Amino acid sequence: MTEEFVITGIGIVSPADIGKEAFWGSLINCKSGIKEITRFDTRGKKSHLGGEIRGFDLDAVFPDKRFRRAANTSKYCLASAKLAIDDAGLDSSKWDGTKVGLVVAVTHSAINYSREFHAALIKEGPLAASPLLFSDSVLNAPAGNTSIAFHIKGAAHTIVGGIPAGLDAIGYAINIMKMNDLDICLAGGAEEIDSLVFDSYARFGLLSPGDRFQIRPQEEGIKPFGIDRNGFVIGEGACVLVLEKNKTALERSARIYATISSFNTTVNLKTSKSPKIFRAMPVDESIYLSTGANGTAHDSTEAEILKTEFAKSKKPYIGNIKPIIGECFAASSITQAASAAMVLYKAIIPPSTIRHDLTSEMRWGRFNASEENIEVKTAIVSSIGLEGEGSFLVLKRQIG
Amino acid sequence: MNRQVVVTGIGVISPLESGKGLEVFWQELVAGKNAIKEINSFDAKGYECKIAGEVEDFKDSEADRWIRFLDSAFKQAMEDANIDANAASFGLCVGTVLGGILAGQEAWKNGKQEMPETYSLFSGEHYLTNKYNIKGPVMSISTACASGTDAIGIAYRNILWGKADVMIAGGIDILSEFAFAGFNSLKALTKDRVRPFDKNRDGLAIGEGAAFLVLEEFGTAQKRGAKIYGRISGYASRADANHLTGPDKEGKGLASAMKAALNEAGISRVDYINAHGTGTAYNDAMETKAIKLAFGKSAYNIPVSSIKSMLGHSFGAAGAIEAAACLLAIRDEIIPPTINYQEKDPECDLDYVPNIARKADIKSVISLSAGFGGQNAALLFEMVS
Repeated sequence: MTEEFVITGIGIVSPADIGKEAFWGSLINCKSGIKEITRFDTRGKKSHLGGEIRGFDLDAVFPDKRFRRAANTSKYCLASAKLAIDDAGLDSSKWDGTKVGLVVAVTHSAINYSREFHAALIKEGPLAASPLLFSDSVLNAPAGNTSIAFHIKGAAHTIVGGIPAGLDAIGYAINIMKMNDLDICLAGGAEEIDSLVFDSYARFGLLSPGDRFQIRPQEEGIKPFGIDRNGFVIGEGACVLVLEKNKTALERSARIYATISSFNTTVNLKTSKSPKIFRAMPVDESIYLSTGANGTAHDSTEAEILKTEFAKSKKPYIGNIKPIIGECFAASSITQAASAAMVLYKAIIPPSTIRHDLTSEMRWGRFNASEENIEVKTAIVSSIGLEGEGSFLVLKRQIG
Repeated sequence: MNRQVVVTGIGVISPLESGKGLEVFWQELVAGKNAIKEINSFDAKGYECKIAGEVEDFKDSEADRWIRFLDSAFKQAMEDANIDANAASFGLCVGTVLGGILAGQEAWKNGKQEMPETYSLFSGEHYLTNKYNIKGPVMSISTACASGTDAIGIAYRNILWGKADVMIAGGIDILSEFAFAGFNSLKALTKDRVRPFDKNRDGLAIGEGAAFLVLEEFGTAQKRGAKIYGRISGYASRADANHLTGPDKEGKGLASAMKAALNEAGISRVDYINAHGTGTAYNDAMETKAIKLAFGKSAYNIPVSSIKSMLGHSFGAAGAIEAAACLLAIRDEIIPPTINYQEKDPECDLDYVPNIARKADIKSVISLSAGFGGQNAALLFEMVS
C-alpha cells in the first residue's frame, strides 16, 4: 500500500490578511489586498499597484529577537511557519526535530539585502560590507532561519523557481518524507516586494498599469483569463503548510484539511502540451479548480491545458486568488494550495473572483457569483510560470 | 524500489583545466596542481586576501559568463554520455548559490535599476530548458555550499521514484566580488593558501566552475550500452538548526547525513571520503568530528581528502565537481591529495592523503558538503561490477 500524506496545518501571511481564517474571510468577501504601493515612490512608473503587507510585526506572531534583522522574506516565512505549526496543534519545542523536514520555495527572495550589501561595497569599500546582510541575502536564508527557529533537522531545502515553485515545494517535501522517513515536513513559499523587481517587470510590460488616482482593484488589477487582461500586480507574503503522514496524523487525531493525491512538478509546457496532470479525471464530480492565471499571456496556455483535461468532465468551479493577493510568485502557488485545502475542509466554495469578460478558451468553467455550500471531493491546483513552465497538484477531501 | 541509478556522463569546468576537459582536470587534480592564483577578474585592492581559483576565460558565445559555464559543462556531460540533448527525454536539476550575480553587480554598479535577464538563479534552468527542449522535471535548488550535492541527490531520487529515467544534474557558481566581499566580511578567507585540516589553516579561497553528471536508470543505460562510471547508492541531507553561518561544532548534522546515506546503501564503511574541507578552522574540525561520529574507530583507516586545497571553494559547483572527482577516483583507483598540508592539528587527526595522490582499491566513496543555513549533505558512490 502506498503511504498517504495529508495537510494538517496552514499558515498564511498575505496582503489580504494574516492568518488563514482572515485570509479565508477575504476570499469569501472578495476583499482584495491590492492597493497603491507605498513602500517606494511609483511616480513616473508604469504601474502603481501592489499587494503589500503593511505594518507587519513579526513579534506579534513570533517574538524571537534572533530574527529581528532578517529580511522580510525570512520574516514572512517564519510567521507563516509559526501559524501553520500552531494550526496543526504541534509544538516545535517538544517535537523530535530530526523527524521534521522543511522545503521553502522562493523566486527573488531578499534581493534588497543583496543590493544593500553591494551598494555599501561599491560606495565605501570592502570594510563597509556587512556580514549580516550577506548571510541573510542568500536564497536559502528563509529556510535556514525557519529551521533554526523551529528546530527542524530532517532537511531544510530551498527551491528557487518561478510562480509554480510553491507547488514543487509540496511535491519535494513529500519526496523528502518518504526517503528520509520523516513524520512531518513543512512546505512553504515566501516573497517580498522590491522596487527593483517591480521596475524589471514593469519594463517587460508585464504589470497591470492600474490607475494611480482611482484605485479600483477589481477593475484595474489582475484579470485572470480576462479578454482585456493587461498584466499582473506584484504581491508579497508567505504560506507554509504542515504535511504529515496520514497514519501519524490520525494517531494524534489531527484535523486533516486534505489528502495529497498527486503532484506533477515543473514540466515544460512548450514541449509537453498535455502534461497528464491528473491520473484519472473524475467525470461526474464537482471539482474545485484553483487556477494560477495572473492576467498575462500565459493565461491562455493554462486555459487550453485545463480545457483539454476537463473536456469530458462536469464543469469545475473556477477559483483564482490573484485578484485578492496579487502575484506573489513562489508564495502564490502554495497559497493557492492552502485555499484549495480550505475549500475541501470547509465544504464551501468562495465566490469566484473572476467577474470580467473571459477569453474564449476559458468559457467552459463555472464562475459562481456568491459562496456555495457544496461538498467537493477533489480540488486541483494549477500554476503556470512566466517561462511557460507548469506545476499541478491534486487534493482530495479526507473521507470520514 | 529496485531501480538503480548510474552515472554515464560527466562535464566539468574548473580553474584547473580551464576548458580543456574532464581528463585534463583529473590528471592535474591527481598531480596535486594548485589552481589558486592572484585574482584577475576584479581589483582585489582593499582585501587582505588577493587569491582565488579562477577559470581562464573561454568565450564560445556571447552569453553571460555563468550561462557559458553552465551550457559548456552541460554539453560536455551530454557528449560524454553520448546522449543527443535535443532528441532525448530527460529532466534537469541545477544547484547554485549566486547564479547570475555578475550581471546584477554590473547593472547596480552602473546605477541601473534593474534585474538583468540572466540574474535570477533559475534563469540558468530556463536557458537550458529552452535551448534543449527539456521536458522535465526541472528544478533549481539553492542550499548554499551544498547546492551541487543536493541537486545530484534530488535527481537521483527522481530516477529512483520513476519520475524520470534520465536526469542531468549538477552545480555552478562563478567568482564575483559580491561573494568575495561577503566571505571577507565573515573573515573566512585565507591570506595565502588553502590548507584543509592543517594546524595552520586560516580560511578558504573562493573558486568557480560548473559540473554536471548524467544520471540514468541502470537498465536504460545498459540497454543503450552506455559507459558507466559508477552508481549512486545513497544520499541524505540534514539541517543543523543551529546558526545561519556557523556549523554545529559537534558535526552532528553532517554525521547524521552520512549515516543516513550509508544506511540507504546498506553499507557501514567506505574506501574514501571526499571532504567538504574548506580550510576554515571551524569547518575542518567539525567535519573531522562528524566523520568520527559516523564511522567510529574505522574513521582512522579511511582516507579523507579535500580537493578544495587545489580548486578553492566554488559554492554550488563544489559538490558537483567533487562528485566528478569521486567517480574518477573509483574508475582509476586513485585518491586525489589534500595539498598544502604541513602540520598536523591534534583536532584533525585522520588520514588526509597529504600532498601526494594515493593508489587504493576504491569501491565506495562518500562526498560531503556543508553550507550556510546549517546545510549538510552526503552522497554515496559505488563501483558497478
